[in-house]
Amino acid sequence: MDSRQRFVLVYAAMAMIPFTVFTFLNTTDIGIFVSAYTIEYFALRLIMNPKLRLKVDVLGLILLVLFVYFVALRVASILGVTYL
Amino acid sequence: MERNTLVGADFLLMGFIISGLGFFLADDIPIASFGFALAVIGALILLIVPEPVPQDALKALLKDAVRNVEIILEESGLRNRAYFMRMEDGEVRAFIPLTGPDGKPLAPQVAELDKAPRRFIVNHMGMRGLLVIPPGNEIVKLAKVEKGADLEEALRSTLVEYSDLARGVLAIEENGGNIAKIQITKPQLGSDSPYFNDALGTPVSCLAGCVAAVVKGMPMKIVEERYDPEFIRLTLEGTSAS
Repeated sequence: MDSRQRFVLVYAAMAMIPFTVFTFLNTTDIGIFVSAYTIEYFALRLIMNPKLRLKVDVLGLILLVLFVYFVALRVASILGVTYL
Repeated sequence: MERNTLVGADFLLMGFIISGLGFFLADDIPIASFGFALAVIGALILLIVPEPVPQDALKALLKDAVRNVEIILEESGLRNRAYFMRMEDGEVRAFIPLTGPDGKPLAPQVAELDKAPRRFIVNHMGMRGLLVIPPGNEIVKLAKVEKGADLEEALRSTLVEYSDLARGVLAIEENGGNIAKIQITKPQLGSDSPYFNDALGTPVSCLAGCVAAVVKGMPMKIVEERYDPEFIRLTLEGTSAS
């Protein structure tokens, strides 16, 4: 098993941790799940540093956009803004 | 289509379907998030995992290459440290000098070697020796190592990510980049070929020598090597014309 396969396996295993924990906690906000997956992804990439096939990390970019969106939603809800 | 591409696409599609059904139809966030995780894993498989060359096949090919060079060195009785050099067309060659009455080759002579006629037996500017293709020359080309790149990054990309012949690499440069001290963690390939080990280093070090020669753009020689199944400690010295 090479380093890239190890990365996918470790990520798959780690993704199940927030899924299990938040499911048991009856979380109903998908933003929390997505944020956890995003943080795990970037943390693991930093630690394991796998080489991507593409020059641009498309997946990282998509996850980051979703993360920013959900954080913005939460900030807006705290500030009482409702149009997001 | 590659097997991994198929598996990745399967995960991605299934993830989207589960996620969509969970979110819009069942209105169940955990199911939707499970589908999302599946989709992310599918995308990862698509983006990261290439069709692997069986590791044992790669090692077997390298071992054969090492044995071929070993036979030549044994017949020639050569055990001198080789100079890894990047030739003008980007290929890497290893020059194993003969120790004759002239003693060690001088730096300008070695630096000029990349312009010497590319023959197996070299007799150029008073330097005599054998010019062989080191095992690893092609790997360096395939890993797209370029002159002037960061040495540690190039070594990691070649040894760990591309060929998976080691688990980690640390490199520090001294003396203005002329000396490189490298530590390679958990080398996956050893060698019981004494002539090869003395001249070109163990196979993983030989590959590191090829990478260093390309990155530095000057002949590099292994001046010290300590091999242990857990790590290799390697000192490479560059030979510039000035």
